[in-house]
Amino acid sequence: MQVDQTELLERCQQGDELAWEVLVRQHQGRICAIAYGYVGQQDEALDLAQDIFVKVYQRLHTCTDAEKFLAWLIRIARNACVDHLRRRKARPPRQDIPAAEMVNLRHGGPTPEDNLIRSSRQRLVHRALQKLSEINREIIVLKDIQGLPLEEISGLLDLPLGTVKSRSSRARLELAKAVTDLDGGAGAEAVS
Amino acid sequence: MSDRHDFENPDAERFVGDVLSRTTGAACGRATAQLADLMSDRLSGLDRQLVQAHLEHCAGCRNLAVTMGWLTPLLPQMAEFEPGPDFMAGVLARTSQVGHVARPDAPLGGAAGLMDRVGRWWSRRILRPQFALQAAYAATVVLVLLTATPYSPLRGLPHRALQVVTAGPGSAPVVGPALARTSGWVDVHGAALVDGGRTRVANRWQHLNESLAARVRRTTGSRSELDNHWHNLVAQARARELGGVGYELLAGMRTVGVVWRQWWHDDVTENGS
Ligand SMILES: [Zn+2]
Repeated sequence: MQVDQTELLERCQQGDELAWEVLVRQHQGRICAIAYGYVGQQDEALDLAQDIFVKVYQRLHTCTDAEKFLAWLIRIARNACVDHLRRRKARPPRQDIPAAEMVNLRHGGPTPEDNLIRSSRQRLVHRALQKLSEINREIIVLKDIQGLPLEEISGLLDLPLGTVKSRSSRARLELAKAVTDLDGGAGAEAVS
Repeated sequence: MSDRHDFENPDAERFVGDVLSRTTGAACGRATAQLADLMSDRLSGLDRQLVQAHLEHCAGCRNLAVTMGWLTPLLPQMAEFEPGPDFMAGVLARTSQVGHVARPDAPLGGAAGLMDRVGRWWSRRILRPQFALQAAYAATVVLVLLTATPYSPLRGLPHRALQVVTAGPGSAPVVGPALARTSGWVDVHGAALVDGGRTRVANRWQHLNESLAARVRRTTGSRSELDNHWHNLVAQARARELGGVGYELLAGMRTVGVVWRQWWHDDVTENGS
């Protein structure tokens, strides 16, 4: 179903619940993935993603250009994640409970074993992301996972483009090291 | 693999490690720095062979390479994460409790529709807490654009106005001639006055002049601080730091209050920080 994004946004701004529901459905996968990438705990990420949508709803009228809606949405999500992590730092850490089974992934398809390996690797990556420095984690989430252009990331993080570029390959290497440390390099993380 | 060149031999491995530790140090740093390029086929012939040769003999780097191998294609697949059906219900429940703009009515056409949309736009904005701050910020920007940009017709006006109040009537560049004419008028019509009256006018002018100079002196510090807040505000706005803009704006408004009080009362000593 191809909905005109400008009209959809206008309807949402007027308080149309149906339009809002469609908008949430369009973006929930991405927002939940961003929150999960930042906080590393599935339940916590889903709560945070809800908070993000409430914030988005309250600020809808400030988004005047439907073409820039996605960038606007990601900026709100990123800022909410960073705020959340800052607040979490001030609180005692939660138990490191392994994330519950991943719910259906959109890019499904292959055999159940493939899915099992992939979801176990994804859990491993989420754990490894928590071992990285804040800046490296942000670059992985925004560039390698979300695929945002470097210019956009530079604006979001308020860092020079050159810094983001040079950080980006180092961040991936740091992630690989963290994964290898957690897993021993086999990449299959005790699939059992 | 011949016996003579058996690098799988632990002794040979140790030998190479010893030599490296006494010369260049371990090559793992160089190898891992090029892993990403190796994975994405961006390494030239010899570099590629050198890294591959290192991987053959270094288990640590090999493990890292294996991880990079599956990590690179996996990351983009993590861009979306389906949260399950409860998520949507949760969001809708929470947003239904949040106050929002007017619901869609039957749309009006023509000028009435336009006025209706403008009215809604305005009512949405004026209800927001940040509105006063944003309006003040916008007004400041307009004022500065009018008085401080190179081709603005009002460029330099605040500076000239300050000159007028700090200097005498003759030296003021714009208002000076007008004041001088006024002073001529005083001369002509003052002829009807007795000499004492003429002296009173001169004394008043001198008093006014001294009083203005004192006010300018005692507000020098706070005015310079105001200037600092303005420059910081522009810097924060350029860096898109809304928090910083808000802070500088509030601090600037506080300093305006200090300038105001210092201007009208000579016993105000607080600073505007
Ligand atoms: Zn090595």
